[in-house]
Amino acid sequence: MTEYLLIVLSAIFINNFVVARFLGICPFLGVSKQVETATGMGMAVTFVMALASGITYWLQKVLVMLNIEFLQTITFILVIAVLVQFVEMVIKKVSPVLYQALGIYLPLITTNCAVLGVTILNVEENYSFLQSVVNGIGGALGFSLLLVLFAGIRERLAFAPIPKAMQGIPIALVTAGLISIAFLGFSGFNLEALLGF
Amino acid sequence: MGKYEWRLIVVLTVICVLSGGVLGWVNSLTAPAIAEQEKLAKQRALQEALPMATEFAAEPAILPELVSKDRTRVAEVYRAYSEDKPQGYVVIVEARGYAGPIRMAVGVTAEGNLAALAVISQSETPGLGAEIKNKSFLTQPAFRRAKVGTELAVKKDRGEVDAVSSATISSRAVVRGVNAALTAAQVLLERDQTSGGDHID
Amino acid sequence: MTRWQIFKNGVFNENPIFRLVLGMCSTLAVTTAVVNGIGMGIATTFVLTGSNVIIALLRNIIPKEIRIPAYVVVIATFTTIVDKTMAATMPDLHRVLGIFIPLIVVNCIVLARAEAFASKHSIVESAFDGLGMGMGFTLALTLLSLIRELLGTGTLLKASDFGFDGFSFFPDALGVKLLVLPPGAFITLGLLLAGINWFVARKGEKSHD
Repeated sequence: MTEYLLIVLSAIFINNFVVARFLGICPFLGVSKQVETATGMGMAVTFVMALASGITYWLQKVLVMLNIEFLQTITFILVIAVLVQFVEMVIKKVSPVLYQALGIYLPLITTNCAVLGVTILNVEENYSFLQSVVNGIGGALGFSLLLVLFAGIRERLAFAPIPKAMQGIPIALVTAGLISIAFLGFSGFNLEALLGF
Repeated sequence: MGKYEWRLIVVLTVICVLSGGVLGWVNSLTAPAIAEQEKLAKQRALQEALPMATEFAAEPAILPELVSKDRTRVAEVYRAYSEDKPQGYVVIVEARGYAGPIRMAVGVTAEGNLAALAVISQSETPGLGAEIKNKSFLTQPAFRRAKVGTELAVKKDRGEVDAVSSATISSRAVVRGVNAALTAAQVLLERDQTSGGDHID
Repeated sequence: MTRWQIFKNGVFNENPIFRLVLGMCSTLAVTTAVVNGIGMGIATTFVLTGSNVIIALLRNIIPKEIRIPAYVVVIATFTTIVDKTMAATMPDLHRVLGIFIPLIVVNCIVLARAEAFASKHSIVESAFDGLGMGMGFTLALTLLSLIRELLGTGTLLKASDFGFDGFSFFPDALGVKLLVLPPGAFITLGLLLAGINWFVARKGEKSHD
């Protein structure tokens, strides 16, 4: 149990996908103007990342078995694209309410590098099936946390007097840098010792 | 299905098959070179970790109790010889650093002293964690004095090892790797002594 | 537009990072050292040019409905070619760039150029667009990593693959370590973008006078 907790905590705080690993920056800058949309995007990404982590675990097994690991990138991205389409269709059928909330974000997720990123990281880290899924969820939670935090700050920034040249992306990047400094503090934690490893 | 739908499927399939073929061809060209690069890097690291040895033989039995602990993995164990005389062991370990696994070779002499360390691969931040590759870190007294039975730690954790400045996580990972390697070497040493020779299998 | 104009457009007017603000992930992640920045830039240029050419070649064959998956397959193919070639020839650089090489496949610039340019233009024009955009990307990465490596570590152009220790300008201990850490990436790029915005605005004002 502690092992999974370690993966989740480290994916959220120490190796946060956005501010430490630089994954998912485009949606981080693009969909973070309001807290409400940020929450929706976060939920959709969490769902897809958990699923993608699980599926690509077995896919990688097949690739290794057939000795065609060189097709990893191409098969992973296709699976993610199909998965996103499929999730969109299912949600539309099952829960129109949820679809209204998440629908517009789903197509954007295919090119969110956090999704492809986590699946490749899982393979590199030699994670088991459960560890992969937990890493997917942890990474997505870290992404969502940052997205919502950042949206909260940007809602206020919208009313702040900012020099013309700094408006928009530049000030957003500098703000992200300051959040990143705050998260750097977590990297000093010896999580293993904290959790009694 | 209509003719148009068939066309969609055929076009996409043809593109996929073509790209699969191209990649298979590229892979057949690059795979031997990649394997060769890896072999060279490993050979270099083995030699660096135990300079007095000339031959290295992979130990088939990787001690199961040491294989993976504390985000550190004993990947391979080599027995080292020079002119058929046993010189000790080289343990290849992988420890999770800041950005990814740090893979290194740890040489242990037949007397159980740490001979040298060599980093095989790492992906730490250039200018920070990546400095663990530097001689000034890897050959510091704390490492040179280490032998089987000692448990190393960085100064921040009340140990003796001088961490690379602003890269405690990477330094800790190296220390964890060295500890794992020393434990592995200890098990091998004890096994060899009780069986009375260097060849137990 | 002439070919030269298409090329120049990618490097300056529509620079993927400074003007279009696309492909941020790899930009922020790999610019800790100039060699890494240039390596990533060249890898991306290859994928951009290659996929642009193939997509332009197939632009009348690929039906509209399946164009996105078809583009993705083409881009992923070039990405894998770069990945394998780098692993075989420059293992150290390949390791440092790590997952950001396979992630070229989801770099928004590549898909954006396929969709916005290559699917509507000739093969030669698309090649020039890919080269221009790639050069623009490389230029931006180089500039960013130049600032971060020099001020962060005091050295420039350290390249272990080629056995080169780089030019040392001041001792490592005096470097602003924050710049090579993740926050430095965000802050340096933010300030650089602001500087360029200011410069462009000023130039615009002057030309109005």
